[in-house]
Amino acid sequence: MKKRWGFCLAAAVAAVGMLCMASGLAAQESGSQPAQPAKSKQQALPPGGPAPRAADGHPDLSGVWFGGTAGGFTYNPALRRQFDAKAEEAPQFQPSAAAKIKAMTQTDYELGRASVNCLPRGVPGMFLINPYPFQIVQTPGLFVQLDELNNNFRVVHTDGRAHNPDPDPAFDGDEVAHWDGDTLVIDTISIDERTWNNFTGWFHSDQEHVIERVTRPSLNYLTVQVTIEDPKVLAKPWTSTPRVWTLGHEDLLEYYCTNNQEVEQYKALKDKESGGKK
Amino acid sequence: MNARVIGWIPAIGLAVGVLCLVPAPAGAQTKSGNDNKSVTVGYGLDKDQPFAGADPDGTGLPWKEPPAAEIEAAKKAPTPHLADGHPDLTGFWAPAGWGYAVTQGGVTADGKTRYTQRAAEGPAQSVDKKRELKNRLEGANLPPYKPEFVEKVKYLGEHQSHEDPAFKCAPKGFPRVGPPTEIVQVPKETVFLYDTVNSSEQNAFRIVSTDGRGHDQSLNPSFYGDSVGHWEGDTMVIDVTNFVDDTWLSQNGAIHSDAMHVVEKLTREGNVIDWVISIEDTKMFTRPWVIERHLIHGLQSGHALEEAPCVEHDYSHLVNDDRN
Amino acid sequence: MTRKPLSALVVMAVALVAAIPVLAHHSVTAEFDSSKAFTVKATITKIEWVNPHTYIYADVKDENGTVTPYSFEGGPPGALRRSGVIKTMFNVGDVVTIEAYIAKDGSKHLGLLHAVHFADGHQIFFGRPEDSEGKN
Repeated sequence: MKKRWGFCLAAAVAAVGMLCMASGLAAQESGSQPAQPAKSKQQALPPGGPAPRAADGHPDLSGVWFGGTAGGFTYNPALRRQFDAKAEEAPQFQPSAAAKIKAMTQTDYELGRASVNCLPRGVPGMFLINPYPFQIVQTPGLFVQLDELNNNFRVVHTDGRAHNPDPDPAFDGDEVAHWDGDTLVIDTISIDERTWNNFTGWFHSDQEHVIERVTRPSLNYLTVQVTIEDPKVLAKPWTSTPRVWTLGHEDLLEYYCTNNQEVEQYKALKDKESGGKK
Repeated sequence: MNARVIGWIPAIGLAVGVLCLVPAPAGAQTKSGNDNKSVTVGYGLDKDQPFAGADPDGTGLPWKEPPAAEIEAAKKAPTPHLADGHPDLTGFWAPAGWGYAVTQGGVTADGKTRYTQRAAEGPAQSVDKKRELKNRLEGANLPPYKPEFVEKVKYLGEHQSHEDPAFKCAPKGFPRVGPPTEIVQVPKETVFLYDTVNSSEQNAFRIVSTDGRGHDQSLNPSFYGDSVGHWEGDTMVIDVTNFVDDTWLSQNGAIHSDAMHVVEKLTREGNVIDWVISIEDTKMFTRPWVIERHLIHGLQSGHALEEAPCVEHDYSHLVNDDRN
Repeated sequence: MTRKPLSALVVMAVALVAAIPVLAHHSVTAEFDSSKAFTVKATITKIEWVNPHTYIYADVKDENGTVTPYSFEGGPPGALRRSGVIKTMFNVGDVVTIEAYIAKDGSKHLGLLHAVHFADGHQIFFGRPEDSEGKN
C-alpha cells in the first residue's frame, strides 16, 4: 500500500531526526551546546511553597513533570540540567560487562534508544534517561506514571505489598512501593533485559534490582534518586545523585514510535558498519 | 486471551483437558476490599476465569458483550461515588472480552510437559473459520459507509493481512483499541489505561480533561484524538476529535477520514459500566456508527498486563490472504 | 488443587466456543502449513519477545559441522503468558530439539514453533496434546 513508502521515508527522516536530537542531548550532557531557537525567557522555577498533601498526609506527587528546572520544554542547557554530573558516581562495571560495553559502536548506542527502536524506556530509564515529560497521577494506594515517551504507563501499588513470587520480565518490571516518611520508595525487579540505564550501553542482567526514591520537596519540584544493584553487571551498587523535575502547566502530547516498521533497515545499517559480520 | 475458534466437540474435549490439567488458582475469588460479596466477578487477567462474550449486534469487532445475566448481577453492587457526587469510574474493567478467557495452558502432574492448548490450524483455513470471517463482514451493525466507499472497505477487509496498518506495527489508535482496560479518576481528569492486545502501542493511555476546557485547536492530529469530558447527570460524556486518518476502526478494513468525531459515554451502575461510542464521519458515513458494550469490574488487584513491543517479521512470508 | 464444579465446566466450554480470536495479525495459515512438520536439534542464539509474534532463533549444526541459523515463530507474548509460557523458560545457549511446521513460501530455515524439547527432558508444546501424536 502506498502509505508504506510514506512511512518508510517518514521513519527514515524520523530516525535521522532522532539521531540528531539524540546526539544533541548527549552533547548537552557533555557540555557543548546544540543550536537554539530564538531567545528563551524561561528561568528556573522557584520552589513555590510547600508540596500539596494527599488525604492520607503523604505529599501528592501528581502533576506533569519536565526534566530540569524550567517547568516546561526548553533548549536552555542550564535549565535542562537535572543533576550535577560531576557529583554523580560513575557505575563500576564487572570486567565482562565493561568489555562488552567497550566493544559497542555509536550505531549500537543509537539502536539502544527507546525513541529509535520503539521499545519502552522502562525502569529506571523513565527517570534516568528521559528528556520527555511524564504525568504522575496519585490516588490512595496507587502511583500511576504516564510517560509521554512512547505513550507507555506504569501502575504501582503503594501499600507496601511484596513482590510477585514468580514475576515475568517486563519493561517496567515487577514493582511495589511503600512510603518512607515523605518519600515514595519504588522497588523493582524482573526487568526486561532490553532496557538500558544510560545512552551508552549500560545493559543489565536478570538480577537487576532498582530502587527509586521519589519525593516532592516543594510545590514546583520533584526529585528522584535511583539505586541500581546488579551483581552480574555492576561491581557494586550504584546510586544517582537526586535528579530534578519541575512542575509543568501543559498536557502531555501523544508520542507513538513507529520506527519499528523498518527494523530491517536498521539491521542493514548495523551489518554495514560491522563489515557484514554480526 | 487468544482463545481460538473451534467446533463444539473439540471445545468440550479441550475444556475437559484444561480442567484436568490446570490447577485451580489459589485465591481466585479474592474479595479483599471488594464491597460486592455476592457476585462472582472474575475478569482478572491473571486468574483462570472463564469469560463468555459475543458480538450481539454484528459489529465484526472483537470487544465482547458479557452475558446479560452477568451484567444484571454485577449491577446490583453498590455504585462508588466521587466526592462531587458523580459515579467513580475508577477500576479495572477487563478489556470487555478481548478474549481474556481462561488460561488455556496446562502442565502435566510431573511438571515436565507444558501445553499452550492452542489448536493446530492444519494446512489451510477450516470451513468454520471461513464462515466466521464471512459473518464478521455481514453483521447487522457494520460501519455505515456511503456507497462510494463500500467496495474499497470490502477489499481492505478481505485483504487485511496485507493491508492492515496495525499488522505493520502502526498503532491501532482510538476507537479501535476499544473500551478502557482500567480507569483512574481524579477530580480534574479521567485517565484511561489500555492493554492494547498485541498492538504496537503496547500499553497506551488517554487523558480526558474534565475541568470544563474545550478542545485545543493547536494540537496535531493524533492516533488517540483529543478528548474533553463533562458530566451529563451520571454519564461521563467524552468528545473526541482531531484524529489522524490512516488508522482502521476494525480489522475489517474500516477506514475513516480526518472528519471523524467520536462521542464516548460511560455510565456506571454497580460494577458495570455501560460504554457507548458514536462514531461520526461526515465524509464517509451516512450516519453515526453506534456501538454499545457493557464492562464488568474485574478483580480488585487487576491491572493491564504490560504488552510487548511490536516488531514485524511476517509480511514477506505471506503466501495468501488468509485472515485471523 | 480442587476440581471445579460441573457448572464451571459448562461455562468454560461455552467460553471457549464463543471466544473469537482477537490477534492483531494475520492468520497462521497465510504463512505456515501445520500438517507438515520438521525437527531439528539446535542451540538457541536469540530470543525475541515481541508482538505480534515471539521468535526463537537457533543454530542448527549438520553432520559436517556446518551451522545454519533458523528462525522459529511463536505466539504473541500476551497469549503465551496467559497459557503459562513465559520468556524466561527459554535461554540463549539452550541445546534443544525443536519441532516446527514448515513455511508455505518455501523458506527452509523458518518454522512455526510446535514443540521445544529440552536436554533435561522437559518440554513445551505450543499446542494441544492430541496435535502432537504422530506429527512428524
